Amino acid sequence: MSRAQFKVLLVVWMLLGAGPLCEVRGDEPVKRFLERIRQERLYEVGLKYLEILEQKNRLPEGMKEDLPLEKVALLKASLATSQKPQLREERLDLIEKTLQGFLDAYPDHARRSEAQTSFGDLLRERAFSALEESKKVTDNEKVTKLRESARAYLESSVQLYTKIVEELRPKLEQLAGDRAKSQQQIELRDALRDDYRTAEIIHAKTLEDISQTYETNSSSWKQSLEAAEKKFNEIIDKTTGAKEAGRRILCFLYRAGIQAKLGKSKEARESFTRVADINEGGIFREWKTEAVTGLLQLDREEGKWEPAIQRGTDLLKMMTSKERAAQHWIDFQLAFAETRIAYGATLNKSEAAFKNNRREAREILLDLLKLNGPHVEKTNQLLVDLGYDAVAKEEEKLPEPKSFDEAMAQAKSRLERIQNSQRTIPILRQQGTSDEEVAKMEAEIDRDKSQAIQLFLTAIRLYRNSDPREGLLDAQFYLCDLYRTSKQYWQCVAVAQAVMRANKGGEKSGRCGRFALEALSNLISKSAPEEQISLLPSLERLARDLIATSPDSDAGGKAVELLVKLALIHGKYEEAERYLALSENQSSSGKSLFGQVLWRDYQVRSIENRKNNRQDTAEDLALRQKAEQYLQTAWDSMPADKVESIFVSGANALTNLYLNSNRLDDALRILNDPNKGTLQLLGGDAKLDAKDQLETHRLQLQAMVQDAGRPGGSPLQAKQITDICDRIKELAGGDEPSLTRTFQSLTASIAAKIDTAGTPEEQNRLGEAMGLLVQQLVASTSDLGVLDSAGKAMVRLATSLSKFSSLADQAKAMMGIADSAYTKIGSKSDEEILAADRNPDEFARSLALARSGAGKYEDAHRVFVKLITKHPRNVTYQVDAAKNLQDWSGGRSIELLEKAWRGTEPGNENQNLVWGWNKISQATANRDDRKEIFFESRYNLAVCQRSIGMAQNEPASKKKSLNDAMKVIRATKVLNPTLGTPEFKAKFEKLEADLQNDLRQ
Amino acid sequence: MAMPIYLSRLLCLSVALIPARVSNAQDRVFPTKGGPAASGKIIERTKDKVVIESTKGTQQNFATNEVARIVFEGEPTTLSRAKDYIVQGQYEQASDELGRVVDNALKSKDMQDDYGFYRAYLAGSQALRGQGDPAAATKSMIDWAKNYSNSHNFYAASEMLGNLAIAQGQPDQAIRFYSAFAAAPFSEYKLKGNFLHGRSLLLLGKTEEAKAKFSSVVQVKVSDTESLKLQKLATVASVKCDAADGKADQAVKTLESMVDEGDSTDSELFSELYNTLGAIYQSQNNHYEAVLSYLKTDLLYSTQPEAHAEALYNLSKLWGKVGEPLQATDAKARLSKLYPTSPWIKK
Repeated sequence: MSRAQFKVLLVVWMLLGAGPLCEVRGDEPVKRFLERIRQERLYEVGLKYLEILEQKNRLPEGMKEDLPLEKVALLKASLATSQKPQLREERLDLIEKTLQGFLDAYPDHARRSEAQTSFGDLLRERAFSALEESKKVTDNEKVTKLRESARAYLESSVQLYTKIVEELRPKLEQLAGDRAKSQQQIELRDALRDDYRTAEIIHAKTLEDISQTYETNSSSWKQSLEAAEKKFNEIIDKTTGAKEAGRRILCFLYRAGIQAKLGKSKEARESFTRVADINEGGIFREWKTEAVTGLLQLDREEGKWEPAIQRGTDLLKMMTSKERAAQHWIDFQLAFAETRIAYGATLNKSEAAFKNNRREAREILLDLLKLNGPHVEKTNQLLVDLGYDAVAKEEEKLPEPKSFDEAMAQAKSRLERIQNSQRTIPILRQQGTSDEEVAKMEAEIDRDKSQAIQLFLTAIRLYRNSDPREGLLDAQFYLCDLYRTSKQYWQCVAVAQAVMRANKGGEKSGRCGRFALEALSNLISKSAPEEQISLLPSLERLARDLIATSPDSDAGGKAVELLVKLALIHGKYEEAERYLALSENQSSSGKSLFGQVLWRDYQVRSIENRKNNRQDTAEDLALRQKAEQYLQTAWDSMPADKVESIFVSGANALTNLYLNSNRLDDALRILNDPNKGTLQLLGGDAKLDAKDQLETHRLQLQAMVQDAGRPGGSPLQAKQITDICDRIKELAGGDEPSLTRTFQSLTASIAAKIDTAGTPEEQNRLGEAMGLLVQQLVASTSDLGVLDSAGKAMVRLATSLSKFSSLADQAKAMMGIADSAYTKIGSKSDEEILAADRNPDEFARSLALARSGAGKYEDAHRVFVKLITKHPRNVTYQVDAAKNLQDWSGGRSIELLEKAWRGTEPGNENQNLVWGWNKISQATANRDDRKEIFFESRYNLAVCQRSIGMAQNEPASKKKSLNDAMKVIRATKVLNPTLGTPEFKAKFEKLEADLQNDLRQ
Repeated sequence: MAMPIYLSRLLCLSVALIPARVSNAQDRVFPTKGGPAASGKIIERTKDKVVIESTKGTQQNFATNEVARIVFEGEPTTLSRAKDYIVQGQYEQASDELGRVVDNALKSKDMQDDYGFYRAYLAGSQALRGQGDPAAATKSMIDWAKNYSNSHNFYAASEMLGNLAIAQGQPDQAIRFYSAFAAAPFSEYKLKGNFLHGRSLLLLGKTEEAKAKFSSVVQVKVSDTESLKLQKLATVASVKCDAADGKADQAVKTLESMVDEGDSTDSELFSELYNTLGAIYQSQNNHYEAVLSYLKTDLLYSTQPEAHAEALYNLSKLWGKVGEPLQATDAKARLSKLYPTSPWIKK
């Protein structure tokens, strides 16, 4: 398909808002493999693969109906790489056959319109291939045959578009007016309408294309064009609404072209004028340029010179430097130059008007020559027509200028060409220009850059005092920029520093400073870590220069920030602090980062202290204070209108610090400040990292819990918690680990607060608030990760509270909440849990432990039995089950105590399914890796027997049980004199002493 | 002027990337299951267990299969970072960090043990990825093992030595090392050791013995993800034995049903499945399907270096047979470029 024809379809698709027809993607390897095959351009392999899958009946179910379309996609893609005309023809035949087969077989398939459009593209593609071929052959008979073949394809495509319209018409009638009731039906109607109109427009355009298959000016040629004009007239008459304005204008443009061909100058002029008079941006501006180009041609043919010159001059004035390289603007400039040349031929050569016109035309053409591209040949021809020699491409040899001015002019002309070429490359790529052509242009840019650098250096060398001082600065500025873009970073830094010293406070100085900063950053980012350190002095020098010479620019601050960050990466905190002092009022983000690092280090130390039951040292507290100072300063100077992620993470760290230090009001201030509170920022326009947003919401929840936990604090509102949790889930997207981490972090923070709360009452209040939060979570989510985190949090809190006997009931209540979380998980099938990459047994165990903690021992026992039935030799489950029985006994029920140590639930061969402490100790004896369990089981065995003894009324039985317990301890001692860890040893010794006491009584 | 991307990246550096300044005042044991490290003084360290005593005198026992890594009191931070990188599979960064460890900074025997092990382990890991000399890595690991045969790193070293022996085409040697690995008192090591042993037997052509080993792996009742995956790999290997015993058609059916039922995002399993299918098709002279199978590993699972190198090697031989000599050259070139020291290059 030629570029112009492709453009027709592209424009129509763009107008209708239709995207490219994407392949449905799936996760199964077949789809992914095909996708990779296409990326690697292994189309033949892909076709063979599909063939094999089909033969072996191994196509995924969902792909069976789509197979023809998958094949077509591969076949079409393969056309781009198939060189042999015969193979190409065979491929086209096969695509046609496959598509036709698909359309016949699946009249109601969801991808039918995609297939129809694809089929239409194919027919047009075949027609244009034949037409291109007909231009290359000289044999008249062959030409006729090829044209007939092209016509047949185009006529088939006309039939296809007619069919599409006929198929769509009844569907649209059913949805006309208020017959479309629901929003879904309205959307469907709009989409069908778009398809309908697209088919009509391409139909009309194809009728015009048919004319190309006849001799120009023949009656058939004329008839085709007239049919196309008529069709466009019909469409224009129907496209009256504002929604269809774009389509209408496009039809005017197409119709104008047809009318011009038919010699209907008046009508063509009118149609072109309808488009040229529109002064809108975007695609309308492109059409306007094309319409003016058409009008210029009409003016030229009719000798209407004055309006033509006026029209061309006006549009040329509107052309921006960025637009000039676009193809439609190049076409316009060529047409305008041609018009001027033709106009010049009517003027007297001695008149000033002739000279002016000639000069203007030459300027247009010389400007066009500054652009590389296929138009150069025609431009040169027009220059010759104008009476000038064709301009050879700028010589590749470096010129040898004699003066500063000459060197500057030559250097600047190269700069201009570089800029134009850089703008042209993306356009050429879009137009499908070959890689070779683009590479050529890129090589020319490199050559121009290298020459421009040499010429600016020459200019600086040739500079005399009589030359303008500003010119010297220009030369240095451009040189600095060229070094930067040519990746000669050290040279860039050197020139920048010269400019900064010479042009203190000037605009060029500031820009060169930024170039140097960019260059140094690049050098740093590409250096090995140990080499980065060696670049710090250069960066510090630059930062000082930037602060001194461009105090109003933020470049100095950025340089300081970079210094701070590098210093921090390399652990040089003192240096980081010194750098921060360089710019007192800048580099707020540097301060924020430094504060965050200090806060993070404090947290690490504090966790370590807590683990070792130590208080924070004075040094630790000083670290926290310094962190607060930097974070608070950064927050104070944070601009509310220009928020960066680093500020938000800093503000979060500050909130966290305040919450951690029991300064709830300060924390709430940072969260809720009406101008730049973190919650306020989340609702603003700034694009913040999801992790920062998650952290803000986590802190919001933590602050709410802490607030609810203080005397007179605001009680938690269920709705608000649910909303925040929903938002957190939304932010985490499908990232379950991130979601889970957020909730784990929240619960860990609250648990830590509970651990350090002053009184059991305060702990209880916080625990209750947290409990309410978790209840909401459990009620509102079915996310496994969140439910698991919620359950774990409650278990942890319950464990904290259970240390205080007065809070035993609250601890039980928390276990009840954990139970509800795990029960919810338990309602899912094992398959669902496994699909989430979780272990159903682990959840079952957590559920049983929670139930046991909540005092629902019987329920817990049932779950343990189920687990043990699945994994009879799992010692962990056995230990859990024995503990549950022991707790269930309350130290009083002899029956349950017996079960706890002897085991219960008889299974095969009279073996108990639940082992009990005795068998656990036997199974773990002499196992180095199970020593702890061994001692635990021996200890509990003795505890159970003692409790049984204490529960007996009959003295002999009581004594026997107490003696049994004593025997257990002594036997353990004989075999393992150390009695395990010091904790166990102490426990055994205490139990032994108690037993001795009991036996004495 | 818009801020260039690399500058904004540098400026957007997050706190997470800045190393914490925490002194290693105590030994720390990081458990494999995650969670906080146990800190204190290591009072016992053998190939089977590590015992650490907290400042309060509480002792905590870790079986060595539960230890992800140990950080010793006062050890250089570069060494700690290197270990962390190795655990995460970031070998290049680990290599940088290890290169910076100064010998005289390794003040205790513990540190010297760890340093020697991680250096050899890193060399081995890189060699297995086709980016280092397996013979040199083997020598380095054996030298280390001579001095530290009761180290907590012993089993990891045994497994690595086995893998390196396989990479050098010495499955009989590998069996020795894998047997030492399987002798660990941990069920998952036994399982893996038996699987690797079976794979070595298969390479030696002892299909019957290999199958018995794979069968012993498959029959164990397991519930953890890693072991379940190992059992699937053992099933694949067992099917390979069947194919070698002349039951190729049945083997293809079994493997195809595993493909249909499996999770195709499991790169390790799927690259193995496709390479095995490729090998079976190749043995049946079904070159096109062999190409397609290896190509799946090449295009979809190139993150598995060993399987990818194997696929590229086979593609370099097979593409020519289906009339695509240029693709064969490309596969060969990529094999040399990506895995310059891979044993597949020498084949």
